[in-house]
Formats: sequence, structure tokens, C-alpha cells
Amino acid sequence: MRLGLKEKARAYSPWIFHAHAGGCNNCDIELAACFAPRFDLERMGIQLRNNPRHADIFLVTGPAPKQIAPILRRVYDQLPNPKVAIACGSCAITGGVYNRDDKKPNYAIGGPVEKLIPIDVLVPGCPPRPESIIQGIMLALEKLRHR
Amino acid sequence: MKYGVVKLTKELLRNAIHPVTVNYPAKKDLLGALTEIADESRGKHRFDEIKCVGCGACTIVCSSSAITESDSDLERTLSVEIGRCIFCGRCRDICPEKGLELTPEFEMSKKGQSANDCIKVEHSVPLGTCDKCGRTTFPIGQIEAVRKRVNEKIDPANLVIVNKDMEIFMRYCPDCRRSGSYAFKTHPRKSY
Repeated sequence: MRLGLKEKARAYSPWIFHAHAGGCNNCDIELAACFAPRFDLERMGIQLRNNPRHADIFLVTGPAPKQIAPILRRVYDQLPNPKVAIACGSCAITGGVYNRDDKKPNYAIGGPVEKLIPIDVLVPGCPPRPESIIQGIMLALEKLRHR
Repeated sequence: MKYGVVKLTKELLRNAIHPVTVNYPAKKDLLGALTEIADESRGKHRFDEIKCVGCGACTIVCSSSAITESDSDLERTLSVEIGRCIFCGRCRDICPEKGLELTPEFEMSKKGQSANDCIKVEHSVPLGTCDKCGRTTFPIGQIEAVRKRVNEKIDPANLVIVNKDMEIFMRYCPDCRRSGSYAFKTHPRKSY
């Protein structure tokens, strides 16, 4: 597939919207470390944005409790197309320690993030290392290019 | 002021040779140093093919129930769901045979729609069968490991009797042991 100028530009300067859905704040600290001088994601043109309407990548951390579940869906819909979603951390992927058994789900958890929004990339770890998050974002860019 | 300029120049020179920002993917810098990862860093699991006996102690102690065991007719499979694991290392600490270790490998991100697409680490061990009823009992390696441990820790006075009893008991499933304990003519004291 031949990429147009717009698609190429998009893949070289994607902006991230970070949605904190419950969780223990540990993934968020690692994400902050990604943008610090040692791992410096901004040299790749990636920026952290606080506005979903400016973003291309939707990065979710946390197990999405019932209170935040409808809001998470609403914020995801506010991102302009094309968009990709990353589930960052064990909580976002399966529920982790908050949701030990899928047959007996936790009463406070609105499900792992995959129940609420379509996920494209999974980044396991508790918390994932910054390199792991960078790898996840690189995989997300491959998807974004062909969307 | 003068000292500040000297300090800044030193800092700049050091950064030119050995930059603070690390490359991704990992690449050697001018001095030939890679991104250092501590040996104790906890990442992807690895089961030792020889040492792991499949006792299932790791499944009990797992705080997020990421490790599960499933028995088939011939073998027991231990599988680690990486998407659920929190890398606390309790499975490695509890393992009596030191058959499980956490490698420093951390690049485990994957494309996928659901948790089933995440990486899984699996290991299977052969199961023994009961001589009487033919059902599967325990992993063969675990039986040998228990025999070895009992022989090490038992009071030497009881060694002969206990070994004779173990020869009989280890061949049967728990139900057949209970029902046949009179016919086996084993030692009445079974507290070992």
C-alpha cells in the first residue's frame, strides 16, 4: 500500500493521550519516565497531549473501575480517526491483581479495558519498563500507518 | 562564574561521548556501553526443563493467579499468562527445586485485540499412573524429589522402615492408598 503525505506525517509525529483509568499510578510514573531525558520519546516526534481531540494514540493504564468505564468510552470516541489504543500494564490487559478470576469478576471493576474499547497493542508488565512502553508505541505506529 | 563555565564544558564533553539518552532499540554508544539492565531485573519467566518437577507450588503462591496448572492424561502443563503477571518473583522464591527463574527479558509488547493474544510461557512434565486403578497421580519428577528430600531429613533410625513404606505408597494414587492401607502391611506410624 502506498502511503500519502498525510499518512507519512502522521506516523512521524503521533501525539499520545494518556487515560488514567483507576490503577495504582505506577504505570503513569513509568510513562512519565518515557518523556524524561533518559528515554526521551519526544526525539521521535511523540508528544503527550492532554486533549483527546489532538491525539492519535490512546494509552490506557489501570483496570477501569465501574465509575470510569462509561467515561473511558466517551473519551475514546472523541479521538479523531484514525486512532489506535494501547493497553499499558497488567491491569489494563486482564485486570491483574484486581481481577484474579475471570469467572468471579471483581464487583468494582467494569471489566478489563478490552471489554470497553477496541485494543490494538498490549504492553504487559507491572509496571512495564519504559523500553517496553516505547516498543508498544512503535508497534502502534505500524498499525497507525496502515489505517 | 568561571567555575560554572568549566563545569558546563565538562558536562557537555561527557554528554558528547556518553549521552544520557539511551538508544531504542538498544545500540552501543561510542564507549561501547549498552543500556545496562540489572541481573536481578524481573522479566519473562523461564522454566528449567530438567529441574522443574511440576509440583505446582508456584500456582498456589501466585498473587494474581497468572500461573495455572492443567492435567491431561499424560502430562501436567504449567502456563504463565504474562498479561496477568505482576512480576513479584514469589513463584521463583517458593520453588523447592529452583526450577523457575525470571530472566531480565522485558520486551514483551504485542499486537492483539484481547488478553489471549499476550505471550504465554508453558512447560509440561510427564505424569505417573496408579498401579491399582490406572488413574494419573503425580508428576514422576515430583515423586522422586519427595523421596530424596525425605531420605535427607528423616531420623536415621527410621530410614529402613520409611523407605520400605515409600516403595509401596509412591506407586498408588491417594484413594488407593487409603483403601489399601491394611493390605499393604505398612508401618502404622505414618506421620513422616
